[in-house]
Amino acid sequence: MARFSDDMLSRAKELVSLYPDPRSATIPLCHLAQEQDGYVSDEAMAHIAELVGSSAAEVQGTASFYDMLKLEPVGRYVIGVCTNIACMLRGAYEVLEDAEKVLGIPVGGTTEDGLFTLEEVECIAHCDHAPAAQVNYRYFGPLDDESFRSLIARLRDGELDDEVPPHGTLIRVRREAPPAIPMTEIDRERAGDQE
Amino acid sequence: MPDELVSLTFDEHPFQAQKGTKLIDALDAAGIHVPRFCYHPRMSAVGMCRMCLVEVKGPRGVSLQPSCYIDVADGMEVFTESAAVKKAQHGVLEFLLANHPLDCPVCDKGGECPLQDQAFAHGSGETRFVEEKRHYAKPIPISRLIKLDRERCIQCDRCTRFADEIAGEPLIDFAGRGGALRIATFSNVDFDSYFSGNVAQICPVGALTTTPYRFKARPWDLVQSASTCMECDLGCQVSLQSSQNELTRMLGIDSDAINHSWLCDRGRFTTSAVNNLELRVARPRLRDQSRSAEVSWSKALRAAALSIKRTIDERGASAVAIVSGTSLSLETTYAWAKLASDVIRTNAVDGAADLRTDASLLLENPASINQALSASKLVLVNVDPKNELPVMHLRLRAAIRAGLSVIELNTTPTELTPIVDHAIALEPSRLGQAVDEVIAAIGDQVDDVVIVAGSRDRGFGAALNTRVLKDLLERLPGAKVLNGTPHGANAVAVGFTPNAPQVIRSSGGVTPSVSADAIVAGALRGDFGTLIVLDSELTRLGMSEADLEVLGERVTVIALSTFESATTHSAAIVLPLCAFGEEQGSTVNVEWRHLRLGRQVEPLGQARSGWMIAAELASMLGDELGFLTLADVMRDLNQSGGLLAGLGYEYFAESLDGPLFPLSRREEPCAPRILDPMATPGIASVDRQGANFAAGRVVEPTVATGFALDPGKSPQALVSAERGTGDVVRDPDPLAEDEFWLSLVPRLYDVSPSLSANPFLAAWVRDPVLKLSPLQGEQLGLMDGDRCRLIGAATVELGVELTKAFDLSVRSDSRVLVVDGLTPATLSLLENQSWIKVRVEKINGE
Ligand code: SF4
Ligand code: FES
Ligand code: FES
Repeated sequence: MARFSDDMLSRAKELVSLYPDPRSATIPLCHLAQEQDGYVSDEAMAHIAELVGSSAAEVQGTASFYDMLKLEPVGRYVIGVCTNIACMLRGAYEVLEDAEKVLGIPVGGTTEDGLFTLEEVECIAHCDHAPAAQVNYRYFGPLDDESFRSLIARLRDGELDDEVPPHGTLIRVRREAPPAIPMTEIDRERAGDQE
Repeated sequence: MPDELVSLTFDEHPFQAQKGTKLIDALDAAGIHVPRFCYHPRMSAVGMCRMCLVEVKGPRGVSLQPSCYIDVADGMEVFTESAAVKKAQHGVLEFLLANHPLDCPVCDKGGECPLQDQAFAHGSGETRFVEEKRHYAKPIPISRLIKLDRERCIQCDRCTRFADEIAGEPLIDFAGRGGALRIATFSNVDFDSYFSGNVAQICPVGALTTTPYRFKARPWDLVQSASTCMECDLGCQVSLQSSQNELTRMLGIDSDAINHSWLCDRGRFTTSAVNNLELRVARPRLRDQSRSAEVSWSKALRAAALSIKRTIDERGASAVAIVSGTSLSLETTYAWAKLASDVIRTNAVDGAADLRTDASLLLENPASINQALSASKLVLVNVDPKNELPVMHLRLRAAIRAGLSVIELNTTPTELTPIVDHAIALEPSRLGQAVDEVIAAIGDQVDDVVIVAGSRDRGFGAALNTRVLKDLLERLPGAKVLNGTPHGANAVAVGFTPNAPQVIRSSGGVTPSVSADAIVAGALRGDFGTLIVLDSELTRLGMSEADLEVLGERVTVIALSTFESATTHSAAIVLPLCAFGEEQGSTVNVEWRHLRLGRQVEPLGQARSGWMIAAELASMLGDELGFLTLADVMRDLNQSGGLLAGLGYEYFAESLDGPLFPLSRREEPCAPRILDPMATPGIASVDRQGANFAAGRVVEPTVATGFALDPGKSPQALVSAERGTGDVVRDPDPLAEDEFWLSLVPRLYDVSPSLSANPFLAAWVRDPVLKLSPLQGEQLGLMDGDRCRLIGAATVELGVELTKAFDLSVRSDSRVLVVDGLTPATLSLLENQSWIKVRVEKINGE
């Protein structure tokens, strides 16, 4: 979609300045881009490359390594239905099939209204509530076709807005970064420790 | 510490190796070849492919370890043939082949493919993989020159490492993960690099191929010879390959002295220009009024001789002028030098139009490329390695990474500027200050300083270049010098330019004393009766196309040329010259190293070698050069007593890299090294078909005897006469408020006949631009993409490009404006003067 907005850009620069080597900020900046647009767009990757001093191909290389960084537009809610063994034994495939029907999209697809993206995922460590799913990495389960439908309905009606922010959201309350402790002070403290 | 040895055993035989060596290299040296894919001797090891696993016995027992990734250690016991190793090799190959499409019958790499070879040698021969393989669209172009077939890729990281580490242009990288890992460019950003062809050479499978070579030939149909790239004078060593009398491709040879197996695209793809028959000059032509007609050689030569003779008779010998700005072979250059000085007896001769500096300074204490790269301090003066000597840029980058300290003195930043230790601005108003800054930057490490002296900025004339170099040498008496001008080394070596010291000239003939610039200007005024242009384009030497017409009315132009150009279209007499790869011979490079030129194909049409033409003209003029064969030329040069005393072809049999001249600079002979077939796949496989590669198919029966080496001879005779450098250095008048100094710098893809004739490279030629730092743009009220008018000796319209990179390196009070790209138009801004003042106006377009 776009490069960083002014507000995001100042956060991005803040992040870059945290690292001795600007490239170390690549992944944090990808998260930031995802927070802004819901996914990491080409324009954002090119912008990140400028900010951290690498090439866009390198940023793409890094970003494409991680499943949780989306390089294509996704819905406001990314639903991952687990089909790993525990969930499978408790009917995950039925849930998944049902989900495809309810949402009208195949696994990997996004609904036309841009609200939902459906994914099939491996164990998400929610086996005690199998069959489990996650929406924007928040856990739900155990699910059956009925509870899945109601989950979708509640998401659609905004009932879960507090619990499940839009895809890409990193934090909802931004804290001020604590004042940086000057290096000299740290060194002095360390020296003190040794004595 | 460097010569500390460790003792270890390979397959129970004791060996010794230098500490710090990679195990795989030690194994190679011991004659044990372990299979490998990702390891490349000129790049850092990554241990990606696991093909090189060997068993190593250590304190914790025997384990499989990648031999490319570990160093030798004392007491190491290494097993390369054990059952575990074999099993590992089978396993790794099975995995590599799991997703490989096995489309070898339609793959360009088939027959010289390391994956194919090693699957035969070390694989299990049967596949157990019955599942669906991964599929991609294939092949996809990742640039105009390179195509990528992702299905074939084995993820060895060679291409991406090259792009990042060697070229410094990470425009390709891996994307995805696991089975979906693939090479990718970024959305619409092509792999536009001067060096892109190298990735196709080093890809161990057919994943990366070059568009010009696709489906051109099968490796077993290729024949090859060792040769030297002539696109610039760095002298990259190449294997020139052909099939059925057509050049097919060029590959870089891993020469320790020069190119470490890399080539730039301009060099690598010259074969496509040679093959472009439509733009080649194939037959001699004479122009009569406005019509030009093909004629026989004898008729053309007679006409040429007549014109020369008439000019001599009517206006004296110095009314015959000879210019060249390209790299001709050493033999051709020498034959023409001899023709000019002994037969025609003219002083209006310059075979090194691009060289704008007193060449005796380059020859007094010459450095080799390797000496330059291992100097305590390296000073780059008015040279842009990337655009002028491209592979030198790669070698410099590698050397800087390894700790070389570089001081750059340039009018315009280069791509090395961000990584050099000191970048010092060269400006007319602060020449002395700039030299002081260099000396300060060198500090007390004055031993072993090397200066690379070029003539990059055309706004910087011979007098200025010479003065800066001389000042530096006065302050650094021990410093060695490496020539940094991309063309003209042969002309300097045989004294075929006024910039060269006289003593190198062999015969007691007339010495050149009129520079190319003066010849061009004089010709336009009608000062000459005959102008002979040796394989050059006059519009590159400062003439406009309109000038060419005027010229034709005043002067008889004789053009010897490989390619058609504005010059051949307007010349009275056109003589076809052999192209690269069509003639045998040799050349010297920037470090005065003698290198072979191989002949792979028959000359096109009636094209002839330049030295033959010189010899024939001489006899038509009633004299003899005494050159019937190449060996005759060589014999003459051998006895010339100058820089090239002792020259001969027999050195080529001794080693891959020829000898340095003067011969007193002879290096330690290095043991012949087997080219790593994995680093240079295409070369070794063709070699196996029986071509005698090491000796090349260089020259017929080696030269006569009596070529005594004279290693004791020192080059002290090469003292310069103070002349030939054109204008005197004046302190420049101060600039008016709206005036700037013009800096005019070349690019690799500046228009030239051989580039225009190259169907694969012609599209890279871009219009010249006014390059500004964003700050300068602000001051001048110019934005990226604007058009402006630049007013110097002429007025030129240019596009504006803002370059962020300039912001860091251009001084904020800089009074220099940079024009990037040489064309007849931008050259007209200068009109052969140094330090032109220019004004800039914005064009307010609609
Ligand atoms: S494309 Fe070739 S060089 Fe690049 S990673 Fe794949 S196999 Fe290696
Ligand atoms: S198996 Fe589904 S959450 Fe673990
Ligand atoms: S891991 Fe050693 S050559 Fe690839």
